[in-house]
Amino acid sequence: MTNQVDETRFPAVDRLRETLRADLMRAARTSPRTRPRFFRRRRMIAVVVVLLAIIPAALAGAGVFDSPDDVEYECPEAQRQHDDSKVVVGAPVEGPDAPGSVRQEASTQPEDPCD
Amino acid sequence: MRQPEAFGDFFDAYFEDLLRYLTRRACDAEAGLDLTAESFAQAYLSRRRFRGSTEGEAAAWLYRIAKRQLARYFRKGAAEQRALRRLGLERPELDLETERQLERLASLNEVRVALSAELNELSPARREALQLRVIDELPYREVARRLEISEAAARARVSRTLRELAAALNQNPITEEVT
Repeated sequence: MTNQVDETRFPAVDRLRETLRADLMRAARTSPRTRPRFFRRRRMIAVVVVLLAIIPAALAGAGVFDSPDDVEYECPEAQRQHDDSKVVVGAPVEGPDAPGSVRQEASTQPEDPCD
Repeated sequence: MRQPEAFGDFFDAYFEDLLRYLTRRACDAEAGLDLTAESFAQAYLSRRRFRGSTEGEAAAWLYRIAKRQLARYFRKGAAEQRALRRLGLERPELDLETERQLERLASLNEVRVALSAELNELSPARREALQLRVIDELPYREVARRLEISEAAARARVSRTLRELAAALNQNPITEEVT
Protein backbone atom coordinates (compact mmCIF):
# COMPACT_ATOMS: atom_id res chain seq x y z
CA MET A 1 0.00 0.00 0.00
CA THR A 2 2.76 2.42 1.00
CA ASN A 3 4.69 1.59 -2.14
CA GLN A 4 1.65 2.35 -4.28
CA VAL A 5 1.26 5.71 -2.61
CA ASP A 6 4.95 6.46 -3.13
CA GLU A 7 4.75 5.46 -6.78
CA THR A 8 1.91 7.88 -7.39
CA ARG A 9 3.68 10.62 -5.46
CA PHE A 10 6.90 10.36 -7.43
CA PRO A 11 6.14 9.14 -10.96
CA ALA A 12 9.21 10.89 -12.38
CA VAL A 13 11.42 9.02 -9.94
CA ASP A 14 9.75 5.78 -11.05
CA ARG A 15 10.51 6.64 -14.66
CA LEU A 16 14.08 7.33 -13.63
CA ARG A 17 14.27 3.89 -12.04
CA GLU A 18 12.82 2.20 -15.12
CA THR A 19 15.20 4.03 -17.45
CA LEU A 20 18.28 3.24 -15.41
CA ARG A 21 17.19 -0.37 -14.91
CA ALA A 22 16.63 -0.85 -18.65
CA ASP A 23 20.01 0.73 -19.47
CA LEU A 24 21.75 -1.44 -16.91
CA MET A 25 20.12 -4.64 -18.11
CA ARG A 26 20.86 -3.84 -21.74
CA ALA A 27 24.49 -3.09 -20.93
CA ALA A 28 24.68 -6.27 -18.88
CA ARG A 29 23.59 -8.35 -21.85
CA THR A 30 25.74 -6.66 -24.47
CA SER A 31 28.90 -5.51 -22.78
CA PRO A 32 31.70 -8.05 -23.13
CA ARG A 33 33.10 -6.96 -19.78
CA THR A 34 29.99 -8.20 -18.01
CA ARG A 35 29.87 -11.66 -19.54
CA PRO A 36 31.29 -14.64 -17.67
CA ARG A 37 35.05 -15.02 -18.03
CA PHE A 38 34.80 -18.17 -20.16
CA PHE A 39 32.58 -16.42 -22.69
CA ARG A 40 34.82 -13.38 -22.71
CA ARG A 41 37.79 -15.61 -23.56
CA ARG A 42 35.94 -17.88 -25.95
CA ARG A 43 36.79 -15.83 -29.03
CA MET A 44 40.46 -15.66 -28.08
CA ILE A 45 40.56 -19.43 -27.48
CA ALA A 46 38.97 -20.07 -30.89
CA VAL A 47 41.53 -17.83 -32.62
CA VAL A 48 44.42 -19.60 -30.89
CA VAL A 49 43.07 -23.05 -31.85
CA VAL A 50 42.63 -22.03 -35.49
CA LEU A 51 46.11 -20.52 -35.60
CA LEU A 52 47.61 -23.69 -34.08
CA ALA A 53 45.93 -25.73 -36.80
CA ILE A 54 46.66 -23.42 -39.71
CA ILE A 55 50.26 -22.36 -39.10
CA PRO A 56 51.94 -25.83 -39.21
CA ALA A 57 49.83 -26.81 -42.26
CA ALA A 58 50.75 -23.59 -44.04
CA LEU A 59 54.43 -24.04 -43.27
CA ALA A 60 54.33 -27.65 -44.49
CA GLY A 61 52.52 -26.53 -47.65
CA ALA A 62 55.22 -23.96 -48.26
CA GLY A 63 57.82 -26.75 -48.03
CA VAL A 64 59.58 -25.30 -45.00
CA PHE A 65 60.05 -28.77 -43.50
CA ASP A 66 61.15 -30.51 -46.77
CA SER A 67 64.77 -31.53 -47.35
CA PRO A 68 66.26 -30.09 -50.52
CA ASP A 69 66.36 -32.66 -53.38
CA ASP A 70 69.38 -31.34 -55.20
CA VAL A 71 72.19 -30.81 -52.78
CA GLU A 72 75.25 -29.35 -54.34
CA TYR A 73 78.57 -30.38 -52.83
CA GLU A 74 81.75 -28.47 -53.43
CA CYS A 75 83.67 -31.73 -53.58
CA PRO A 76 82.91 -33.73 -56.80
CA GLU A 77 83.47 -37.10 -55.06
CA ALA A 78 80.96 -36.24 -52.34
CA GLN A 79 78.51 -35.09 -54.99
CA ARG A 80 78.91 -38.43 -56.82
CA GLN A 81 78.35 -40.42 -53.62
CA HIS A 82 75.25 -38.34 -52.90
CA ASP A 83 73.90 -38.85 -56.42
CA ASP A 84 74.53 -42.61 -56.25
CA SER A 85 73.10 -43.05 -52.80
CA LYS A 86 69.83 -44.85 -52.25
CA VAL A 87 68.20 -44.30 -48.99
CA VAL A 88 66.98 -47.52 -47.37
CA VAL A 89 64.91 -47.36 -44.25
CA GLY A 90 65.39 -50.03 -41.57
CA ALA A 91 68.19 -52.26 -40.43
CA PRO A 92 70.43 -53.72 -43.20
CA VAL A 93 69.75 -57.39 -43.97
CA GLU A 94 73.41 -58.05 -44.66
CA GLY A 95 76.71 -56.34 -44.19
CA PRO A 96 78.52 -55.15 -41.09
CA ASP A 97 75.49 -53.34 -39.66
CA ALA A 98 73.11 -56.30 -40.13
CA PRO A 99 71.73 -57.72 -36.87
CA GLY A 100 73.99 -60.49 -35.58
CA SER A 101 76.99 -59.52 -37.68
CA VAL A 102 80.31 -58.65 -36.13
CA ARG A 103 81.34 -55.14 -36.81
CA GLN A 104 84.89 -54.74 -37.98
CA GLU A 105 86.95 -52.26 -36.10
CA ALA A 106 86.60 -48.95 -37.81
CA SER A 107 89.42 -46.61 -38.50
CA THR A 108 89.88 -43.97 -35.87
CA GLN A 109 90.10 -41.32 -38.58
CA PRO A 110 86.90 -40.57 -40.53
CA GLU A 111 87.23 -41.00 -44.24
CA ASP A 112 86.93 -37.87 -46.25
CA PRO A 113 86.31 -38.59 -49.93
CA CYS A 114 87.75 -35.25 -50.84
CA ASP A 115 91.16 -35.77 -49.20
CA MET B 1 21.83 -11.99 -7.98
CA ARG B 2 24.62 -13.01 -10.29
CA GLN B 3 22.24 -13.35 -13.23
CA PRO B 4 21.10 -10.13 -14.91
CA GLU B 5 17.40 -10.85 -14.23
CA ALA B 6 17.99 -11.43 -10.52
CA PHE B 7 20.11 -8.31 -10.37
CA GLY B 8 17.19 -6.43 -11.97
CA ASP B 9 14.94 -7.50 -9.10
CA PHE B 10 17.61 -6.45 -6.62
CA PHE B 11 17.82 -3.08 -8.38
CA ASP B 12 14.05 -2.59 -8.17
CA ALA B 13 14.01 -3.43 -4.48
CA TYR B 14 16.74 -0.98 -3.45
CA PHE B 15 16.83 1.79 -6.04
CA GLU B 16 14.51 4.21 -4.31
CA ASP B 17 15.93 3.71 -0.82
CA LEU B 18 19.49 4.10 -2.05
CA LEU B 19 18.60 7.15 -4.13
CA ARG B 20 16.92 8.78 -1.13
CA TYR B 21 19.86 7.93 1.14
CA LEU B 22 22.54 9.23 -1.23
CA THR B 23 20.60 12.36 -2.16
CA ARG B 24 20.20 13.24 1.49
CA ARG B 25 23.83 12.51 2.26
CA ALA B 26 25.11 14.51 -0.70
CA CYS B 27 22.40 17.13 -0.08
CA ASP B 28 21.99 17.33 -3.85
CA ALA B 29 19.58 15.57 -6.23
CA GLU B 30 21.96 15.34 -9.18
CA ALA B 31 24.82 14.04 -7.07
CA GLY B 32 22.44 11.56 -5.43
CA LEU B 33 21.44 10.18 -8.82
CA ASP B 34 25.06 10.07 -10.03
CA LEU B 35 26.10 8.17 -6.92
CA THR B 36 23.15 5.78 -7.11
CA ALA B 37 23.77 4.93 -10.77
CA GLU B 38 27.49 4.41 -10.18
CA SER B 39 26.88 2.30 -7.06
CA PHE B 40 24.53 -0.05 -8.91
CA ALA B 41 26.87 -0.24 -11.90
CA GLN B 42 29.76 -1.09 -9.60
CA ALA B 43 27.64 -3.64 -7.72
CA TYR B 44 26.74 -5.28 -11.02
CA LEU B 45 30.33 -5.44 -12.22
CA SER B 46 31.60 -6.87 -8.93
CA ARG B 47 28.61 -9.13 -8.21
CA ARG B 48 30.76 -12.26 -8.45
CA ARG B 49 32.76 -11.08 -5.46
CA PHE B 50 29.61 -10.95 -3.31
CA ARG B 51 29.87 -13.84 -0.86
CA GLY B 52 26.61 -13.41 1.02
CA SER B 53 23.45 -15.41 0.58
CA THR B 54 20.65 -13.39 2.17
CA GLU B 55 18.86 -10.28 0.98
CA GLY B 56 20.06 -8.42 4.06
CA GLU B 57 23.68 -9.24 3.24
CA ALA B 58 23.15 -8.10 -0.33
CA ALA B 59 21.70 -4.80 0.88
CA ALA B 60 24.59 -4.28 3.31
CA TRP B 61 27.04 -5.00 0.50
CA LEU B 62 25.32 -2.45 -1.78
CA TYR B 63 25.38 0.21 0.93
CA ARG B 64 29.08 -0.44 1.56
CA ILE B 65 29.72 0.26 -2.12
CA ALA B 66 27.52 3.37 -1.92
CA LYS B 67 29.33 4.68 1.16
CA ARG B 68 32.68 4.28 -0.55
CA GLN B 69 31.30 6.26 -3.48
CA LEU B 70 29.99 8.91 -1.14
CA ALA B 71 33.31 9.23 0.69
CA ARG B 72 35.05 9.63 -2.64
CA TYR B 73 32.47 12.21 -3.68
CA PHE B 74 33.17 14.27 -0.58
CA ARG B 75 36.90 13.91 -1.10
CA LYS B 76 36.99 14.73 -4.81
CA GLY B 77 33.90 16.86 -5.15
CA ALA B 78 32.50 14.75 -7.99
CA ALA B 79 30.86 11.36 -8.29
CA GLU B 80 32.92 8.63 -9.88
CA GLN B 81 31.65 7.25 -13.21
CA ARG B 82 34.14 4.46 -13.80
CA ALA B 83 31.70 1.55 -13.59
CA LEU B 84 29.12 3.38 -15.69
CA ARG B 85 31.73 3.99 -18.38
CA ARG B 86 32.81 0.34 -18.28
CA LEU B 87 29.22 -0.62 -19.00
CA GLY B 88 28.98 2.04 -21.70
CA LEU B 89 26.28 3.85 -19.73
CA GLU B 90 25.46 7.40 -18.84
CA ARG B 91 23.16 8.17 -15.98
CA PRO B 92 19.71 9.35 -17.13
CA GLU B 93 19.20 13.07 -17.65
CA LEU B 94 17.60 14.82 -14.72
CA ASP B 95 14.86 17.21 -15.85
CA LEU B 96 13.47 19.86 -13.57
CA GLU B 97 10.33 17.93 -12.62
CA THR B 98 12.30 14.79 -11.76
CA GLU B 99 14.77 16.85 -9.73
CA ARG B 100 11.92 18.41 -7.74
CA GLN B 101 10.35 15.03 -7.07
CA LEU B 102 13.71 13.65 -6.03
CA GLU B 103 14.22 16.55 -3.63
CA ARG B 104 10.78 15.84 -2.13
CA LEU B 105 11.55 12.13 -1.93
CA ALA B 106 14.72 12.89 0.01
CA SER B 107 13.14 15.75 2.00
CA LEU B 108 16.07 17.88 0.92
CA ASN B 109 14.49 21.16 1.94
CA GLU B 110 14.18 20.00 5.53
CA VAL B 111 17.72 18.70 5.46
CA ARG B 112 19.00 22.02 4.11
CA VAL B 113 17.11 24.03 6.72
CA ALA B 114 18.47 21.84 9.48
CA LEU B 115 21.98 22.06 8.04
CA SER B 116 21.75 25.81 7.75
CA ALA B 117 20.55 26.10 11.34
CA GLU B 118 23.45 23.98 12.55
CA LEU B 119 25.90 26.03 10.50
CA ASN B 120 24.59 29.18 12.14
CA GLU B 121 25.37 27.67 15.52
CA LEU B 122 29.05 27.42 14.63
CA SER B 123 31.54 30.02 15.73
CA PRO B 124 32.51 32.49 12.97
CA ALA B 125 36.02 31.05 12.79
CA ARG B 126 34.75 27.51 12.30
CA ARG B 127 32.05 28.53 9.87
CA GLU B 128 34.60 30.42 7.80
CA ALA B 129 36.96 27.41 7.76
CA LEU B 130 34.13 25.18 6.59
CA GLN B 131 33.02 27.71 4.00
CA LEU B 132 36.52 28.01 2.52
CA ARG B 133 37.20 24.29 2.44
CA VAL B 134 33.79 22.68 1.72
CA ILE B 135 31.83 25.35 -0.16
CA ASP B 136 34.66 27.18 -1.95
CA GLU B 137 36.69 23.92 -2.25
CA LEU B 138 39.99 25.66 -1.62
CA PRO B 139 43.12 23.63 -0.87
CA TYR B 140 44.15 23.53 2.77
CA ARG B 141 47.20 25.66 2.04
CA GLU B 142 44.94 28.47 0.81
CA VAL B 143 42.47 27.97 3.69
CA ALA B 144 45.38 28.29 6.11
CA ARG B 145 46.68 31.42 4.38
CA ARG B 146 43.29 33.13 4.54
CA LEU B 147 42.69 32.16 8.15
CA GLU B 148 46.29 33.13 9.03
CA ILE B 149 46.95 29.81 10.73
CA SER B 150 49.16 26.83 9.89
CA GLU B 151 48.02 24.24 7.36
CA ALA B 152 47.87 21.56 10.07
CA ALA B 153 45.69 23.83 12.21
CA ALA B 154 43.40 24.49 9.24
CA ARG B 155 42.98 20.76 8.65
CA ALA B 156 42.25 20.16 12.31
CA ARG B 157 39.72 22.98 12.44
CA VAL B 158 37.80 21.79 9.39
CA SER B 159 37.87 18.18 10.52
CA ARG B 160 36.70 19.02 14.06
CA THR B 161 33.94 21.24 12.72
CA LEU B 162 32.67 18.55 10.37
CA ARG B 163 32.62 16.01 13.21
CA GLU B 164 30.67 18.36 15.44
CA LEU B 165 28.27 19.20 12.64
CA ALA B 166 27.67 15.52 11.98
CA ALA B 167 27.07 14.88 15.67
CA ALA B 168 24.59 17.78 15.84
CA LEU B 169 22.73 16.58 12.76
CA ASN B 170 22.51 13.09 14.25
CA GLN B 171 20.57 14.56 17.16
CA ASN B 172 18.06 16.09 14.76
CA PRO B 173 15.15 13.76 13.83
CA ILE B 174 15.00 15.26 10.33
CA THR B 175 18.62 14.66 9.53
CA GLU B 176 19.62 11.75 11.72
CA GLU B 177 20.01 9.38 8.79
CA VAL B 178 21.95 11.98 6.83
CA THR B 179 25.20 11.54 8.72
